[in-house]
Amino acid sequence: MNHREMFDGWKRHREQIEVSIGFPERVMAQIKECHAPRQASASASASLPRRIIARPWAKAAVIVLGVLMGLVRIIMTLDLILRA
Amino acid sequence: MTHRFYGTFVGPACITGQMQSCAVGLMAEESDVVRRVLEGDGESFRRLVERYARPVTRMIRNVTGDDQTCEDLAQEVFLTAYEKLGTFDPHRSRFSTWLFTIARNKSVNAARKKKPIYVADPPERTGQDVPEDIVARDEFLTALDRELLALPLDQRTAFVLAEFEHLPYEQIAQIEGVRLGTVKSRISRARDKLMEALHRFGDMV
Repeated sequence: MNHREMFDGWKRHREQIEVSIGFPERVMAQIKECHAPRQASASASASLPRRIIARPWAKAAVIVLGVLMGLVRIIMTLDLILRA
Repeated sequence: MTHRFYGTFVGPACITGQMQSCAVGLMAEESDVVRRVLEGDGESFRRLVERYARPVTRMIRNVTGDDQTCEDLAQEVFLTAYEKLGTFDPHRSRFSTWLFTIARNKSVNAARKKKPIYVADPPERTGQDVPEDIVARDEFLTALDRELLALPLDQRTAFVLAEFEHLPYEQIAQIEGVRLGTVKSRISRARDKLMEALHRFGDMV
């Protein structure tokens, strides 16, 4: 057996793995345990910031909206001062 | 650019040379599953767990060298993935890249804390007559395992992702958060060290 074959044999050996049969059930049970109250109803409201974070265009839109609202507020304040 | 895929993902369509379309279909399907989970269908996450349980557990075991707790750590990886699923952006990366990044970070943290278990001692043989070549083979495998765990963590993770998970270098660069050239050199150095060890032990076997 040459070195290359030995190396490949070792790699095959390390690639073998058996995950226990109940693993997905364990994971899902833990998820349910930790996040039960948060599911379904939370998705619409609580996940909104997450959704915005995940989308660059949404982030840009929020920033632009914030800047515009700030400008409007400044103009309104200036208007109020000048009229007084 | 060569793409390599996990054994568990490769269906007949992929084997017959339609790997690109298979990967695109897989990505679309995974994005769809993620969207459904974010919309409140938490049970859909099970499909992702079933698909990635083996690769994630294997990656953790090979990086940490810990056969005993790799499943517990994999469970933590999936829980973290579920919690942070809203930050996954399908336009930026594949789901597998994102998941392996979490797995990589957790296994690196674990590897820094723990002493590897599977290389502690070669398997003890209780039988009286064990063929010499089997003993030599076991010693050889243990020696290479030890060499793998002696690699610096950045080289080890890159090597594990390339050689055991068969990820393309571009994807590994994303997971590691480094340039493509850095990944190539890390894998090459890791391979050289292991081949050097192989020659050393191979001459003894």
